[in-house]
Amino acid sequence: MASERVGGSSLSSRLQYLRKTGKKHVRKPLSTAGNGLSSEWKRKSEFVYSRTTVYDLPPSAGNDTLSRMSLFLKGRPVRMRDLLFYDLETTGLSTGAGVVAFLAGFGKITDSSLTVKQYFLDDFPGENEFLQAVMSELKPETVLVSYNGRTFDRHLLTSRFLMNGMRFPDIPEIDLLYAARRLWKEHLPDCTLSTVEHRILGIQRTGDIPGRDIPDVYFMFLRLRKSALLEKVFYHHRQDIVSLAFLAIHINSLLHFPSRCTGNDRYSLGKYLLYEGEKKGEQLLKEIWKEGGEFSLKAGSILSIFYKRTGRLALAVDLWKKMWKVDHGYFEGIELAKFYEHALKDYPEALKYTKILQRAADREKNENRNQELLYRLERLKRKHDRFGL
Amino acid sequence: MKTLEQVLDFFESDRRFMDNVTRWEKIPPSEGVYAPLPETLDPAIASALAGKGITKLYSHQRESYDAVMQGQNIVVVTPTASGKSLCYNLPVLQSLLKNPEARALYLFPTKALSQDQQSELNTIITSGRLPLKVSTYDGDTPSSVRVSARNTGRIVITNPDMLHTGVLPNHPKWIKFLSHLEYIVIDEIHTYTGIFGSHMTNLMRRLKRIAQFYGASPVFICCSATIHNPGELAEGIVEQAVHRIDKNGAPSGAKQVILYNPPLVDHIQGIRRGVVLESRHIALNFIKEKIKTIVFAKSRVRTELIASYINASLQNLFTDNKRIRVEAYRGGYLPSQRRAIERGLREGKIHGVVSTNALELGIDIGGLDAAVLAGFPGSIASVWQQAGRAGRRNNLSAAVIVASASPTDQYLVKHPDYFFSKNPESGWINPDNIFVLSDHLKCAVFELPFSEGDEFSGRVDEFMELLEEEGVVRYAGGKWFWADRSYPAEQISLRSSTPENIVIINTTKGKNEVIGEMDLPSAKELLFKNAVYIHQGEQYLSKQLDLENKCCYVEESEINYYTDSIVKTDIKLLKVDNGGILSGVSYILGDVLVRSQVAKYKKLKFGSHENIGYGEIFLPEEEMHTRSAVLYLKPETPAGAAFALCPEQIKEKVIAGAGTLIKNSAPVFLLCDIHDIGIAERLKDPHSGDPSFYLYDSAPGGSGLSEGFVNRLDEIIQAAFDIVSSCPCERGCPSCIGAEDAGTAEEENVKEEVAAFLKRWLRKE
Repeated sequence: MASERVGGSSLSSRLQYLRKTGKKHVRKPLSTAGNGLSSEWKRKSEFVYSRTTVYDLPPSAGNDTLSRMSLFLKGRPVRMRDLLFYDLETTGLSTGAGVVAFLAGFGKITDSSLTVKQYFLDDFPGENEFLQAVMSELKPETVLVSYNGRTFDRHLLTSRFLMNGMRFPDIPEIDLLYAARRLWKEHLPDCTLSTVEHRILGIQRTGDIPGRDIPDVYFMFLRLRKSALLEKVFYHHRQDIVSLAFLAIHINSLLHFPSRCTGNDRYSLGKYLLYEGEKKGEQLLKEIWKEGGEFSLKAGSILSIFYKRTGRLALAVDLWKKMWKVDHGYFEGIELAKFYEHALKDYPEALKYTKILQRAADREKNENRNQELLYRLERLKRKHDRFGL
Repeated sequence: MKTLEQVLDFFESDRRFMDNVTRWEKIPPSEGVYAPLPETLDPAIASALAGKGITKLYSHQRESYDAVMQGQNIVVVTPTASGKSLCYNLPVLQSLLKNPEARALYLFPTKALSQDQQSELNTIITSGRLPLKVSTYDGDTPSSVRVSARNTGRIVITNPDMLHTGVLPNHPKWIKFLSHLEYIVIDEIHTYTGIFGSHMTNLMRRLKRIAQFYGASPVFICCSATIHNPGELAEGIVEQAVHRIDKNGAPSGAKQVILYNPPLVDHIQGIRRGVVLESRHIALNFIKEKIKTIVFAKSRVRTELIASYINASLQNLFTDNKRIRVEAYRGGYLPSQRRAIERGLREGKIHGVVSTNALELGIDIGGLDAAVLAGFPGSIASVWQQAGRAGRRNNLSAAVIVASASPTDQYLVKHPDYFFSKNPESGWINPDNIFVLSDHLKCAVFELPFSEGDEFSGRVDEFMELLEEEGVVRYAGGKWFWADRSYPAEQISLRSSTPENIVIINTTKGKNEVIGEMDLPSAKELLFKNAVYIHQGEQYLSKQLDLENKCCYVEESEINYYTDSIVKTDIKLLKVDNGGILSGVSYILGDVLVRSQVAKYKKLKFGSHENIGYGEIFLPEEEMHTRSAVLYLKPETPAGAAFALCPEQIKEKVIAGAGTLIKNSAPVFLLCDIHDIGIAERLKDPHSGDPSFYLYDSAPGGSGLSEGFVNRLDEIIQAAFDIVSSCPCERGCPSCIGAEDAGTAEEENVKEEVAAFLKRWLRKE
């Protein structure tokens, strides 16, 4: 019987074929010359290129030597010029060991200009030199500033450094994504950098490439070695760093002059500063409460909860009573009912607030709340009958 | 209250019981063989052991310790409850104390076993106040704990799947751990056979490669249940020399093994009493005397049925004795429910448990006195593992194996000599299966670039060239780099079963509580609309199976029947790649669609199991696209001519018998597990009209087994013939063509016909 081996799938038959023919791959030497990069890109080493772009800044932006950004570093003093804005473009969206950074950009503020330096890795074997170039940007006094860098870029760089036998220095990093979320989460659809730069900074990009398409463009470049493919990626990457720097300047000035901002921003900032333990936060919220505008009651609730948590119950109660006068709202009503029930054991007073809230809930056909309040009423009545005199 | 001995005496004096016993094997107790604690052992460990009452070791524990300390890889093969975990914990703890940088990785096939080991280690570490941190790292580990597990965990407990998708692809995050990795513990290594085992070998290749990158070369400590070739399997998985330790030093109490065949209720049709009712009856005799008993059932439905029957009987007998508790245990319970049952068993608050094979693996449930097997499990190795669940070091234990009506069970129960002398199965793996291998090469190159001439399963060059053509790696500067945006480990599953789960929600009276979960294929069989679903003894009626949202709504019910679904499987040939004539038979290789559909269900009355009606099920088919080799017995080929000579009226049985033989002989040549392949026989194929065999890969997409089957066809058919012609049975048994059907006429000897058919095919006349 014949015993010829057969292969089924394309993979196995191709492997068989390779084995049978003993065909050797003819390898072209790597072309290191042609990649068609424009002349603004300077060759740093065999596989690494860099380009520098300088932007003018309004004179006020950099004149503040001590930055309010120290808020993000537990009060450690930071100078504006120590901030290093950075961002990576990578070959994948995970931080797994097979994902490589091929574009690294760094922005620095000096007096009245912003200088953005980009490093480009032209092919995999140059990664070590590329990381050396990244390393050369990091000084002992550097404070990194990123957008989502704490969970992505920093991890990736740390991994790449390790795999190349280097150690990423232990320098502080401010991730503005967290600040942006605190400040604008409630009134933006999302907090991606593109949304924030558009809605908060008013920057409009044209012809930008979506971030998720970038890995494939790089792979295409590696195969075809046509740098024209990368133009949009270079632009996108540089713009990310510019936006990051402007965002930092914007947040810095918000922190510096809280009273200059209005509406939403003012309320969010107050809340933020309060959580960060800044005296200014309390002040700002008090102002907003007293002015009686759109955010007044919101500011009041935040403040009252803050008082309650920090053991200043009298201040909280005072605030609740004032808020109650304004709108007979559920928030302060329930807080007052709790206060009278548990702290003062004054059940008739607690019943008073609860009854009003319950009737309102009934009117509004808010079934869950109504149930909850009825239950509360029951309990208060029981307690009243038992302990109340 | 009777003792186990008294219950067994009672059985033995009961004529009606003994009429059904085909063998009562009394295994005498054996003395333990001991060795002193090693002198080098850290006093803190010694005192922790003393706290658990351990002042000396069993010989195999000491042998393991000495071998590991000399830097040898070992595989420990001793029965259940012989103190296996100390074989690895002792040398590992000792080394970790001596070298404050050293790390160890523990791999268990399931999360439940990981948890078990974590708590076992915790007791030693707490009582000895050892400064060692043990961390479990799996899908359930909260991300806040993960960082500290990676950086400060000295022992990390995980499973192969997590190692594959979570740890290795992110190895730079594990640098501290991996650069000091001294030990890799692989427990229950016998579970890694077939395709799963082939994945495991490649996973170990990746792990060793990364460890080497960070300068570590760990020692492997493996443990296995009794299989035929544990040493060979362990060496196949770690690909280094492995020292086998199989002299068990643990004492064992006397053990009685009883083979029991339920009595005939209809002598003319040969119908026996059901295995469920008989098992309940036997188990009840133990449980009502508070003898700790485990009952193994072959399906989830049966598990629940037997548990609820036992509980019902107990209620009648002991209305006010609530201290006897019997629980069901199976896949599909929430982890917390499972842990509670395990704890109850260990602490003695639960006296009986009815389980699927979920409790077969080494989960610590304390000592049990009696095991009742409701039907033979699929393999001899499983029989001994399940029977071994009952077994004390000093006292008597018993295992009763109750045969079901299936031909295999009937053969085994009627041929006890055959049963007691049969070797447990071998575990086969084929790590160079190119489907499995190329999957792992993708993961490996993602983890670290390959240089020309690097070794993985041999030189990687030609595989890398293939991946380069596929466009996922890039060759530059003498190396291959991963050059694709995807994360390859995510797309490669080590197990063929799908990870999707259906969540079961109880909505009785406006409740909305999750009571369990179940994998998708099982859910279609057990949770279809109107199914009666039994969970922890409570009865529910399925109101809606929402496949899209992966949930099933059930309500408590008190219907007097349960449901059993009927699954139909059919195979459709989609695409023919190539074909020809090999080994005297016409074959093709191609893609097939294996469809199974749950289309109907039976309603069976509780208690009598009487069929009281049918219902329709409207669910989409379960479809699997895979690879298949089809053999057509065309009349012009030797195989077809040989088959044409079989007596017409038993042709169907002959082709089925030959199919069974092929299925049993193929794994040896394909180095796979018997469950990795499926076979279907057709007397008249819908495509060609010829009698045919379909052999297909059980893994979606195929794993190269169909191709391998065709390549080794000569040997496989020859082996099939050798098996049947040398089998000493007269009319068929599970070792050859399968046991004879109950209704076969006296003059039809299928076994002889199958042997004659294969002989003609192979032209041996």
